[in-house]
Amino acid sequence: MSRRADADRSRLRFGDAINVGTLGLRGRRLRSTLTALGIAIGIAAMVAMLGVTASSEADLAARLDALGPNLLVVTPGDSITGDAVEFRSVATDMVARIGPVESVASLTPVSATVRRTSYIPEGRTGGIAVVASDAGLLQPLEATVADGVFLDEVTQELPVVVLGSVAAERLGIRDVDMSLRVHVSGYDLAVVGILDPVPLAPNIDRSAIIGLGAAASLFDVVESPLTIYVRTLDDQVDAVRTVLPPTVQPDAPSEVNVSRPSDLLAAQEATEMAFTGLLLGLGAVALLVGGVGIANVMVISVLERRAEIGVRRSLGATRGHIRTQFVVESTLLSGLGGVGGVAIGAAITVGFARSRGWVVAVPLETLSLGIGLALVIGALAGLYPAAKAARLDPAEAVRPTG
Amino acid sequence: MYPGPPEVHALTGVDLTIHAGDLVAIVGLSGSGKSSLLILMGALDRPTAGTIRLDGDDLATMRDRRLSAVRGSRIGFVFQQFHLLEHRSALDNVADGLIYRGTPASERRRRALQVLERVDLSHRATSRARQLSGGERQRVAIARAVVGDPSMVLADEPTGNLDSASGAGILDLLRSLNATGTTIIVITHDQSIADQFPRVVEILDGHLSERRTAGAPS
Repeated sequence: MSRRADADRSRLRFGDAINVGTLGLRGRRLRSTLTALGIAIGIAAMVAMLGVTASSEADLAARLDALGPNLLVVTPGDSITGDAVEFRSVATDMVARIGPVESVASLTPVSATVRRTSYIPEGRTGGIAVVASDAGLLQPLEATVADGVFLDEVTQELPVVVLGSVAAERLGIRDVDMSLRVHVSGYDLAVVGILDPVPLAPNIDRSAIIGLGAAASLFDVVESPLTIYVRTLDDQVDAVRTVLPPTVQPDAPSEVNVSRPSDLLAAQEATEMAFTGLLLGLGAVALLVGGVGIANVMVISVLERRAEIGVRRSLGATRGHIRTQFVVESTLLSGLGGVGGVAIGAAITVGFARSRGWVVAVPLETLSLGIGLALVIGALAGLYPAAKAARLDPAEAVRPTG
Repeated sequence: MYPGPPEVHALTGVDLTIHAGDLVAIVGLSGSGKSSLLILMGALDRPTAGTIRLDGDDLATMRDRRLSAVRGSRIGFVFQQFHLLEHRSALDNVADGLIYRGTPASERRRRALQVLERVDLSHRATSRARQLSGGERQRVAIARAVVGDPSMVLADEPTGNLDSASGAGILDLLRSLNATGTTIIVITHDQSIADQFPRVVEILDGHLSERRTAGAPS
C-alpha cells in the first residue's frame, strides 16, 4: 500500500517547525519576556555603543571637514643648548612666499596683561594672554567674528582690542555695542570685536588680540612671532610641511615644530574610541550572561515539558523534530531579545547624539549584526537543552506525571 | 560479574494477536506489566526479545526514526491525563495529530473539524483546551488519536481521570468508533470497565490470559 510506505517517514514542514517553536514561548509569556530581556540588554549596549561611536565619528569627520585638514601650525622648538628659540621677525613673510601656501598669519606675544578695569588687582589676569597679530589672522584659521569686527589695516594701528570667546566671557563682555574698554597694562583699549570659538587654535579663545602696529607703539614687543598659522593647498600639505622648518629658520631647521591640529583632534577622538571598546566588551559580557540565562530557562522548560515531549513523540515526532523544536524556540526567544535590544540601542544612540548635537548615525550593519548575534547565541544556548529533550524516553507520556 | 541493575522481565511468554476491527480491553493491576505491554504495543520502546508485528512489519527491529513514523501514522494514543496543549484550541490540538506527517495546515484543520464532529465537539472547536471539561478534553484527545486514521487506537486508562458519567460517555465513543471500523485497545486496571468489552485480555505478573465475555452492546 502506498499509504504505508509513505507513512513510515515523519515529516515536519518548515513553517510548522517555526510554529511549534513559538508555542512554548506563547504559553509562558512572562518567563519568555524576562529571558529575552537579558539578551535585549546586551544587544542594546552593543548597538548603542557602536551607534554612539559612529555618530561621534561622523561628527568628527564633519568637523574636520569643516575646519579643513590643511592647516599647519609652526611653533618654536627646543635648541640644542636648551635656550628658548626665537623666530626671526621676517619668518611670517618668508612663509607667505612658499608657493602652495594660501594664507599665513602669526601671533606675537605681548608682555602685557588684560583686566576689566584698572581697579582689578594686577594679578587677576584670568589666564588671558595678550597677543599681537596683523589683520589677516582669521583667514588661515577660518575663524569667525561673533560680534563686532576684527582688526583691519587701519585699526591694527589703533588702541583697540579683539577678544577670544573665552577671554570675553571671563571679562564679562557679551557684545561690543556697549563701547566697553578693557585695561591692558596701563592703557584702556576699546573692545571692537569678539571671536567665535576657534577649535583648531583653542589658545586664541583665551587671548586678547591687539594689532601689531598698536603693540609696537604701546608695549615692548619681542620682534619674533610665537605661532605661525599656515593654510596650504589641500594636496600640498605634506610638501609644505617639509619646507616650513628651513624657511622659518634656515640656519637651524630642527628647532622648528610643525604640527597639524586636525591630527590632534583625531588622536583625541581615538582615545575616546578605546573607552568605547571597553563598553563594547561589557556588552559582550551581558550577552554571554543572557545566553547562559536562556540555556538555563530552556533546561527547566524541557524538564517541565516531559509529558508534552512524550506526546509529540507518540504523534510521530522523531528525535530530530524535538531537537529542532527546542533550538527554534531558544533561537526565537533570543531573536526577540535581539530585536528589542536593537530598538533600545538605536533609541539610545538617537537620544545621545541629539543631546550632544551630533549627526545621528545608526549603521544598518549594526542593526542586522545585533539581531544576527542574538539568533546565533539563542541557537547555541538551545543546543544542550534540545539534545536533552531529544534523548527523553518516548514512553514519558504514559507515565503518570501529571 | 553482572554490572548494572538486576534484570527484570516485565513481560514473559506473551503471545497476543489483535485483529483489525477488534475492540479489546487489557486489564491488570498496577505492577502487572500492562504499562510495559502498552509501551511495546505503542512502539514507544523495543522489546529485548521477541517480535511485535503491526500490519506485518516487525517493530522490534525498527530504528528510532522509523518507529517514530509508525507511531505517528499507524497508532493513535489516548492518555489518562489527556495531555493536550492547554492554551491551544480544541481544533489546533486535534490538528496537531497530523503535524509530523507533513500535512499542510489547511488540510489538517479540515480533517480536524471532521473528526471533532465525529466526537460531537464541533461546537467547541475554538475553545481553548483549558476551558473544556474533563470529558470534553478526553474527546479532543480521542479526536487527535483518530485524526490520522491509524491502524489502532491505544487508550491508556482513558476514563481514569473522569467521573463515571463522563467515563461512560468516553467508552460509548470508543465503541462507536470501533463500530465504524477503528481497532481499539483499552488498557485499564478496572475490571468493571473491562467487562464491557467483547474481548478481555487479563495480565498478571507479565503473563496473559484471555477470556471472551458475553460482551457489552458493541
